[in-house]
Amino acid sequence: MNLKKALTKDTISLDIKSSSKEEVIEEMIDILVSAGKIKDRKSALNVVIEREKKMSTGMQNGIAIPHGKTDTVETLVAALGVKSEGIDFDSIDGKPSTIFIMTISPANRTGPHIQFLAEISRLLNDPATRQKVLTAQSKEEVVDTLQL
Amino acid sequence: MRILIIGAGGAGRRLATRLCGEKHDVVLVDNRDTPLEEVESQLDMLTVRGEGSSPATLEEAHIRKADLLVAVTNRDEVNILAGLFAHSVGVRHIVVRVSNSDYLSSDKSYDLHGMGIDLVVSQKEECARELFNILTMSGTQEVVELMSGGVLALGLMLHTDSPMIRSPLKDLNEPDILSKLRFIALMRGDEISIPRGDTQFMIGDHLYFVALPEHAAELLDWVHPERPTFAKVVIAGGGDLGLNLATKLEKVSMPVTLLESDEERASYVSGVLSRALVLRGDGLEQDTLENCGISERTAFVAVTGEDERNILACLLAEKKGASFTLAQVGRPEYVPVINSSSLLDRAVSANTAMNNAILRFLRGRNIQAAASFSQLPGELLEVIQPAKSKWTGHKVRDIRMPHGSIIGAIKRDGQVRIATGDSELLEGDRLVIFSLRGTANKIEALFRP
Repeated sequence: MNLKKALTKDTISLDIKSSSKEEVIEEMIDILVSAGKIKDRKSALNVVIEREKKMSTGMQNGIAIPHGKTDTVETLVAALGVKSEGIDFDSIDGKPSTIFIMTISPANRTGPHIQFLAEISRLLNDPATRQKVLTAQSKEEVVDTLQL
Repeated sequence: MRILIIGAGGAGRRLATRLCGEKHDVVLVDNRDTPLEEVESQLDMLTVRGEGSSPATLEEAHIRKADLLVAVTNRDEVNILAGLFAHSVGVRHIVVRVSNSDYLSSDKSYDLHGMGIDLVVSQKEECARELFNILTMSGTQEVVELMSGGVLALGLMLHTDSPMIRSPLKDLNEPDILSKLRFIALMRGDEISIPRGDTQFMIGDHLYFVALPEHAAELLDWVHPERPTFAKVVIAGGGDLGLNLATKLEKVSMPVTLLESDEERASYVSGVLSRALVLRGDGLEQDTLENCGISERTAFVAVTGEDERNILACLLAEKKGASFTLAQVGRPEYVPVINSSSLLDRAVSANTAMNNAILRFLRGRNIQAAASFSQLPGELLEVIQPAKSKWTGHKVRDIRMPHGSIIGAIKRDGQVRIATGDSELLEGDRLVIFSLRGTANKIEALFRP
């Protein structure tokens, strides 16, 4: 099973419109709903917001990884959003977040979710890769950069 | 070193392959042609066909020249006899595998050690202990006991809930927690390093540290606050391994349900266990799985003796809602594949224990024991600071350790303490050292008197 297959062109947005943390989460949930990856919008939104309340998922280097677990999905689903101006996501280093990776996974499976995040964040740990994602002109470019 | 291996089954062949790779002189004995022919076609070693317990066969295999004899046929009696003969002709190191726990009796009259066998390995006992550790120290990927259980080496994966991913090691303001552990290795993808103060951990990193057993739960709660806890363990398979594991879990008051398809065996197991619920049924049957009441706080362990069956039973249990699934597999090469595929939570191979036992004899005089992790390349060594060691009175930070190695713990006067840079070494100290693959010889040389 290739975990990176969870991220496809239809769940990537290079043009995040929102300007607050809550809005970004909603916007990304809607991307997953439109792509047919989430059926129960309300429950998915709830779990991500609840998770965010416990501890912000804004990491270093402008990466944020909002996520949640719910049995309303059968397998891991993922979306990637880019907003080059950045949004305050209560990140560890206090800097604005620019790349958002959202995952929603079934409640009792932590393995795939962590492995997915590990693979993606390992790739994005490289400054050149981050820059390529941030300046990508098309979704195909992101797919190529992350070797999806 | 000249090594005589009795038994060309899975364990024997894997061991032979490894030892040949390390340039040892290996002779393999088995009473069947086929496995020997297979080995001969692949490896450069001498093979002898015959009964491993027969003096004639052992002579033909030049037993008198051997430095180490390892007997791993599937018959305990053959292994023990081969070991006893080896002792009588002066083989220095003897390792014997048994499956019947009667041979591990603590009664001195039947003590195999007293009869000259250095090490009696019970694969099932070792495997049960590993499964038990994984279940009772949930959140870990592997647990290795060192210094007779006085210190643990724990391996786990960093999740999104871990405070460790939030700042570099030196900025973690947790002096109390950090004084109770010592990080020995970090595995990120294929890269392995020893964590330093400026190391920034990431989600998915595999982190290894040593700690005292009494601190393990507290440390795991800190590193992985959302680690799963189990209210019940369901064991599929009531063989020796399943029964051994159930007995261990009963002792710590963990509720256990055991599934065994053979009626006679099920009633025997039910008689031996005091509190566990024993159900007659197959772990692959929907009805059985439903009857055993799997919930989101259930850990499911499959130990039926068949790899494929164990893996499938775990997949079914996961579908029924088990929060943690663990399969015992005989083929060690399956373990990394399963553990990286995310299908099951964990797979454990029974051969690690055997390997660890053998390593001990290959690592020189002042290295007392060694152990390896199943997922992390490298070894944990137990080294004695000999009399007149050049390091007596020196601090840990001043010792020029070979690249890729670190002192994790120190045992002195029967007490184990976690090493820090300021720990001072004294004569007779026993040290736990982690070393990346290939540095064991350098460490042996470093501490040579």
